[in-house]
Amino acid sequence: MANPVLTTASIEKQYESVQAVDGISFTVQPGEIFALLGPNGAGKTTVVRMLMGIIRPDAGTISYCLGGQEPAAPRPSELGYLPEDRGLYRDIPVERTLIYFGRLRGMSQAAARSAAREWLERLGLADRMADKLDTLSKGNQQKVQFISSILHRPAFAVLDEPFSGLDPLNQDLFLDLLRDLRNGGMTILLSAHQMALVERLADRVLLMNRGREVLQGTLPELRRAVQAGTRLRFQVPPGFAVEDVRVTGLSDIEVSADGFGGQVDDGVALNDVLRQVAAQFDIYGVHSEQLTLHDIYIRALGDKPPANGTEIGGPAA
Amino acid sequence: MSQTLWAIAVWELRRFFKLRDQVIGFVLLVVVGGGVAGLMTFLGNRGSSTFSAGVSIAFLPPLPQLDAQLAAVTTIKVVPTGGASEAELRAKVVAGELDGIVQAGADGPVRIVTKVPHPWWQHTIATLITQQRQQQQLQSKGWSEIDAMAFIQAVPIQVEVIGKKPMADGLDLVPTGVSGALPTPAVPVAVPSELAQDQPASTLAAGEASPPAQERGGQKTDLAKQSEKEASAAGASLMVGLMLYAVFISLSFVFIGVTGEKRDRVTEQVVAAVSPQTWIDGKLIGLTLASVGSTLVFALGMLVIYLGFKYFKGEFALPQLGLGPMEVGLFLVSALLGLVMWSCFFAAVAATINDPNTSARSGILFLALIPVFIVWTVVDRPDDTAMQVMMLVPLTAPAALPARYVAGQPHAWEIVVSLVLLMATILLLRRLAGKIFALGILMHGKEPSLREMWRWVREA
Repeated sequence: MANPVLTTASIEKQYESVQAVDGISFTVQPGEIFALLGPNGAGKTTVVRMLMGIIRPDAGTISYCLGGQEPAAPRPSELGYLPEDRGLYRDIPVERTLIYFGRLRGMSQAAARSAAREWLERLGLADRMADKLDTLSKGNQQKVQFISSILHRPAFAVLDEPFSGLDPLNQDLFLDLLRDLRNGGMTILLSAHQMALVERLADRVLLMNRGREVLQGTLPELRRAVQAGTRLRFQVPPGFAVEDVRVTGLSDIEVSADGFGGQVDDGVALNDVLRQVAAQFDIYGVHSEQLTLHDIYIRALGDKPPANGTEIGGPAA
Repeated sequence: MSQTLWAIAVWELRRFFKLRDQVIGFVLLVVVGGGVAGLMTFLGNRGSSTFSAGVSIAFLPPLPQLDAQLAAVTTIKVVPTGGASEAELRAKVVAGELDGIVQAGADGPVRIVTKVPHPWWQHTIATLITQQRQQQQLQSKGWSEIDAMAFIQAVPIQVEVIGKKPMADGLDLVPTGVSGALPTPAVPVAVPSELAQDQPASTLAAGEASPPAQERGGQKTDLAKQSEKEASAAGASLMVGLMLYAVFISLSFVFIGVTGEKRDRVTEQVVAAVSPQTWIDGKLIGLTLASVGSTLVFALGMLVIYLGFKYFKGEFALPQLGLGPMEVGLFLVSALLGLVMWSCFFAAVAATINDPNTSARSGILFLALIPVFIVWTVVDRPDDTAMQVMMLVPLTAPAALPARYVAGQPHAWEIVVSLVLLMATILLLRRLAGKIFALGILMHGKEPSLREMWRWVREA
């Protein structure tokens, strides 16, 4: 297995009386999309800023291994960054701005111009390249900002809240773009609070709350971690109680007007469960349900509320 | 210079030095300046009976040697006498059909008969006749062209005012029918080297007839020295004035640039790509060049307006500022170093400003103008102790050094020490400003206190 692109170990950051990040550790593997997920105030942006060297961690280590076997400080051309606190030069034409950011990341003038035009064409902004940023809609400004962060084809892109301010259509567009970039070999770390979008995109997820890790892993791993495997609903004739349902490997059983449902225990084969239910009831329908990331997060928090004054993003699209 | 530093410098230069805008501003400056010049000329000639774009004069006797030169002066029209007598021409002056009669012989004073005491065109006539006489004289004595150019002396002018009653308060200095000698502007006089031997220095007073060439002596006459001193003082004042303008422009560029980037939230994306020190270094280079460019455009505009004034007066000549290549070179070096030094200060302070509209800290930036103002107040005394000290103090050196070099007599060691101290200060300020800039540029929502900034500097 290749070395992780990024390894963080027990990083911490304190702002005056607030412990913004408290002992976060994770790795990002080459070619994956890794998501930092959590409500506002969870500490995601602080982690991202530490990863980009904008602020220093009070404790812990951050190391990169981009393009080599040994950890090394990344070159500007290897990193891309879309900050949460974003903005570009408002009174300067879009193309010139993009070329400038390409130049800052080590591109030649010609290469930056070529890449800028290619991306503007791809995002439907080719006819606006000579316009000043101020004249673009918010969504189009967001696209230009996004282009500026990945124009130089970095090996590793860090995108802080990439879906913020986008309408559903543009959210879908960005999902496709990010998948394409990943399929092209780019490793991506993104932070977001729109869990439904992240669920559709991320290979692995780190759930955060109040600066601490809540859960980490792939989606199935998260489900297992909160013991939220597959939930089955059976449509059966009424007239029975919970005690009448005797199915090994099915727990947390609830009875409703048109049947009953329960959680399939870890490691239990579905055909075993189906055979037992079929032996007891006439089955008119079966529905499989899985916990969403949102549900997993809520379940994982348990009695620990999210950060003050924040809401966990529900379905975004 | 690294590619990134170069890219930042060019970016900042192009952001603030926009040639099209500069040209438009330049044209506006010329138009407004030209308008003001025209208005002032009009107001200055209200007393003249025939103000127009030009005046009509007659030479009695005719002076055909000046025809070629006067043809180039569009504001003076020479009217042929047509055999008219002096009495007939005088009548035309009184009637307003003619602005004046010029009577000039082969030597001696030039006599002008006119209705106004101080006709604006008298200097043009005096200059042209002076040059014509000198050419004649120098050619007859076989002097070289260089000697002839250096040998310039003013021709005295006498103005006779006619057709106008004297004012009761005596302000009409030249009464009707009375001839009087008018002062003419001082003209630098230099004597051809072969004539300088064993000749005592002499003073050529304005309006006096110049002594014969044989009577002039020394390398330069006192008048020439005085004229050179005045020219040097003008040059020094110009340099300090341009420095003041450049510092002000630099202040506005850095202030707008840095606070604008904070406001537009550009900073984080740039800092993630380049180090803050590289960013501020690129800014300093680009914005200093932009300031110098804007100052040069401003100076050019001023020169055009000056020449416009001269043109309206019929004298098309470059100003005498006593500036040679060395003076200009030293000024450019000092200006560049000074602007870099002040830009370090501006960038560091601007980076700590949260909201430029409300921050009290914006006023601190104007402190930079004070040292240049102080130099301005003593620029006419270039060898005073105060100026000597200011030339060595880095805060005032960028303005004081070139001004004193032009108008005073600094020792070579003073120049060297001044430049060395200035460069050392720049290196120190660059590091300190880089640290404050690095931390301040990413702060939003509050401004760091002076104590915090001092801590950053100490930790640096």
